[in-house]
Amino acid sequence: MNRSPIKLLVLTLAPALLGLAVFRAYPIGLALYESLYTTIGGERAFIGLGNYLDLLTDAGFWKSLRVTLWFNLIINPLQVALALALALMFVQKLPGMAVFRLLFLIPIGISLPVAVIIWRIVLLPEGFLNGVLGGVGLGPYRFLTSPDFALYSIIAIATWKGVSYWMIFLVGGLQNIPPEIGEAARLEGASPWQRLWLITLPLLRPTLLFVLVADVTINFLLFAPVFMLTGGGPRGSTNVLMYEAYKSGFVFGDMGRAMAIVVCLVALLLVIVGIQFRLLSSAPPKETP
Amino acid sequence: MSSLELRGLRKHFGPVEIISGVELKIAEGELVVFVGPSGCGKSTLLRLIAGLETVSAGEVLIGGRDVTKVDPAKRGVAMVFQSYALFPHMTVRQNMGFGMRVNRVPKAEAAVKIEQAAALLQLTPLLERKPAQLSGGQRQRVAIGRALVRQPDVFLFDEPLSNLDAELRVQMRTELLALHARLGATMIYVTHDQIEAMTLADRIVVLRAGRVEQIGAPLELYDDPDNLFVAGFLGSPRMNFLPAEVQPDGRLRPDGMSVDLPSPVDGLEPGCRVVVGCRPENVELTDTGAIQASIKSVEQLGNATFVHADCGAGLAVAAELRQRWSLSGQTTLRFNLPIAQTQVFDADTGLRIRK
Repeated sequence: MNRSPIKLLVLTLAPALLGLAVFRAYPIGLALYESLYTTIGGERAFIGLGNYLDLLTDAGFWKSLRVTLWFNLIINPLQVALALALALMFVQKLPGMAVFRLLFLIPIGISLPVAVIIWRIVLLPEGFLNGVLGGVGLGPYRFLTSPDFALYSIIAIATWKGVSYWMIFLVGGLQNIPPEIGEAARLEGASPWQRLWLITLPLLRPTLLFVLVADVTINFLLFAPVFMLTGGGPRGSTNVLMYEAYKSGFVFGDMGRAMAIVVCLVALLLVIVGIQFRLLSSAPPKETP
Repeated sequence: MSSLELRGLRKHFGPVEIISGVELKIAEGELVVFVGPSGCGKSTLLRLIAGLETVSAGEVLIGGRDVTKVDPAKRGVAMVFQSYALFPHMTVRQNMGFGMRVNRVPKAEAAVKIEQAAALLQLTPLLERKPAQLSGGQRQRVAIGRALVRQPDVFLFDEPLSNLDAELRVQMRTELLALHARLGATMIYVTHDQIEAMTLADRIVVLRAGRVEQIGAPLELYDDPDNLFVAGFLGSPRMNFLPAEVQPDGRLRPDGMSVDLPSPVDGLEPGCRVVVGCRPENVELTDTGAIQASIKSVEQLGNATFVHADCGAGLAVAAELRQRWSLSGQTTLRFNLPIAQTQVFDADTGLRIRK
């Protein structure tokens, strides 16, 4: 039977395209559409770019944006650096590595809500961590209720949960580098640091790019730990844009503002991801036939 | 260039011994080939010399200096890997200059060395290309060039031609020989390809299961093997082996046959079990031959003809003829094994009987 390749292409791509349309394109379109409306006295009203213009002078939005950017400025390099360090340890053939691998894979198997609850117990003023610190004469600290600590506690929890996950990708990338390349560098006299900087990291670049982009995306859209632990507080210190959008839409009922915030967040994310792609990706050299 | 010596070298991974007490002396400027079947430990032996594997017992001496515990970079060796192991994100120039870069050799000096090596290996027009833009042969030359600029005491080659096609392999073999002649460098070359071993080596080291089976010049090993393994490993088609029993008159009767063959060695004990070996090119096809066999296949190579035949009792014999030969309806043939070209091995130990 002679089938048209177009039909075959459509048939094979249809499930993926359908999923993309329903779960990606439709929500984006809906967010864009809803961001052009507001609710006045229970009635929806079209206000064009009104929600966006309001955000320009909205102190709450700008503060939330600053929190989001600061949060991401810390968590993304931290997570990628830790994941890389762990991945480099993960691939070493040293005694005791099996235990190390098991320990660092545990967080992947724990769901985020469960992890958040466990960490809440650990970080409470009368919790485990303060107990340990108290033993050496420190604290107690209000890890979740102090504006000085809350954001960093969220960063620590999200990092604990995320690092192992990103580590797995980097381990895959490292294992994809032929061992002879490292051995050749070693024979040439390169020190371990030189091998890391001059050989491993450049060859790991495609994996690092993926991890960085995916990590930034997830962290820009982080919601659950803030929702479960701090509710954006204390004094807005953990009020990231996703939580600000949630409050706006589901607590204060202003879905138009919520959608405008989400659209701004996604636009910001696209710009950042675009820059990352530009900086980290490079066209492979043309292969000889 | 330097001499190299291995003293009682052993390597085990857990309980498994991979290299079992290898003793070897390689003279300055010698090209020695390690050859053996897959898993015989030849690459491991090379890696032990390079320092990429730790030695379980024994010593590695380069130029008389014990380097057993010396860092690979400080042993004065350069290695060319089977997969080339070029740095894919670097140009040919950067690849060749990598060692000098990390060792902080002045740029001008490094540039001169790179240019010289590139000229020697005809890589000058390719210096700014990356490995992905090169053919297999060019990549291999870059890998050799990278080794060359280090001016090592000993060059180590780990199956460097096995990723190349047959024609390129022949060409690279010739180039390697020319390079060795020009540099006069000490080289160790690992291969499973006996033709590479025979054509390249000053001396061949035949390895099996981590042990040295025999060391010698290529033709010495081919003509005068110490045991069944070496006799069977070198040569294609391999040497014909006929299990036989020594008769009371000292002649040898191959299993399943009713003819006795004259023995090339005297004093064999009647009744003892031996293996008679004869290379295919020495099998003498003649209508009056003492042994009859049924023809299984004929391979015409143009310059030679290989006839594969069955002598019965599962004994296969191959004969190589220098002239063209066709079956023309023939199903059997007769042949002799000339006494001067047959060898006898102990059937139990596999060792050559040279009495």
